[in-house]
Amino acid sequence: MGGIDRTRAWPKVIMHVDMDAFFAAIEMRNMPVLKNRPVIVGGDPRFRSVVSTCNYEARRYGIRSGMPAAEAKRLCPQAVFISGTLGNYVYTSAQLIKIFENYTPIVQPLSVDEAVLDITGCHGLFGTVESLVAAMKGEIKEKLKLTCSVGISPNKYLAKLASGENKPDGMTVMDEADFQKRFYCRPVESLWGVGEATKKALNKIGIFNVEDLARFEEKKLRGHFGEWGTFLAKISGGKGGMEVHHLDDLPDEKSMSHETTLNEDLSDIDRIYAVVLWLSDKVAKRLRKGGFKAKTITVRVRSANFETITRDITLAVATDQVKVIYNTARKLIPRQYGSRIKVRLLGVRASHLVRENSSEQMELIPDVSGIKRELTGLVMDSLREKYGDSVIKWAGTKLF
Amino acid sequence: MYQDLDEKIEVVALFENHKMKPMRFRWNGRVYKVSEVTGDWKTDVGAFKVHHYAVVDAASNFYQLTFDERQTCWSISKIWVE
Repeated sequence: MGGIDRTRAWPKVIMHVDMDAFFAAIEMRNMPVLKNRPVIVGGDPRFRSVVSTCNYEARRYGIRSGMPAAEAKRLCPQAVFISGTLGNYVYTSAQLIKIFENYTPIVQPLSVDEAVLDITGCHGLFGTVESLVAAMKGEIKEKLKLTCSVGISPNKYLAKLASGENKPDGMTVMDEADFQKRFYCRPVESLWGVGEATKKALNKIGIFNVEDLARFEEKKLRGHFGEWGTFLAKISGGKGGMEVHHLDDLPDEKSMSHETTLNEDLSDIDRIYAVVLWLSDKVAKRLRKGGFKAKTITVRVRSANFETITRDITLAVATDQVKVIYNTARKLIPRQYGSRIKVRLLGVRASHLVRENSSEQMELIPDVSGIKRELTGLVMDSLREKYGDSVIKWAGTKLF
Repeated sequence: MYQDLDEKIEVVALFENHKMKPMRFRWNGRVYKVSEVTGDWKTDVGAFKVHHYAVVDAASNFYQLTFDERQTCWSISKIWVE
């Protein structure tokens, strides 16, 4: 009870909700026959694909998100592989947001299966934080037949860590003092945001657990990691942002990107260009939908032997047109890719975004073909809005 | 494992509380009674909606039924086969 009452003294009470094995849980709810069986949502293990998520039964076999599906099949041959129903997950996610909004108006979705909620002041309506969480979990169980794990903290970072402490269907209240007790003895990679590369770099300078990191001088961390060092110092002290943005009030996106791992390694340059066109079209559509234009175009290419290169170029005039994005991205792909080096993954990113109606420098002589391209884009957008994305495609993507 | 299908079916549905609920369906000449709708969701195809229903019969066999607003027709899109 003491843990619950402490929240009243916090300047902000932030809740992080993480749905338990979300995709797999939805499939198990829909197909009762899957109950008590290891279920893996992801690609077909016969092809090059990865595990998107899996249920807790499958996790007992060491299966994890991001693992190659073929390896998962080897670890657990009896597992049920499901390609997943993205539309169902997105729809259920929207239903979840509606449920969250019954408890606070300030809900920020972080992804399809997690969100942060600012419940400062709201828990008083339910008596305690614990009773608010119980009511919310109950509503999710009743309406969606799903469970979630909840973290309650004074900031977003700690709330996210806390929600992972008691899974599945758990709740953890954690302030900075609790964080020190729980996390100081744990290895640095137990902090969210510290991946394999950062862990190795930290280990090299004698930092192995969270306490080592917290006691390391911030100035020295900055010397080793630049701005990232400031972030590391902050999180090792259990500090984090407290501002929760409502969906309609999110800060502007800084970039928009799409990438794809190909079903087979490509050496045919025309097929590579077809994929780049398909990705450019997706990026351009998102830019127009958000009312943005981009000044910088970046391509990411991963070869069959896992070497990844990233190249970008900044345009004189910001664009939201597929043809400009495609032509730019195409030029950025090094010549040896396709001819000598097979391609495994391709990505296109648009960044340095400006609002469509911002005071962008105009061209002295209007580009007539540019106006035609803009009209083409708008016509495609309206056709897709009415009949769906597959109603019209760029002919060049046919090769893909 | 489940099997993807795309076969037209006939459905008897109940409209209740602004929701549509499949009750029975005829597939390959046989009538199946829906004992539970285990999940339902909608997807957008342009301005139209496609309604999806995960259902089970009395023997706990799983079927996924789909109602496409564009064509005003029902189909069976997925079944579970052991």
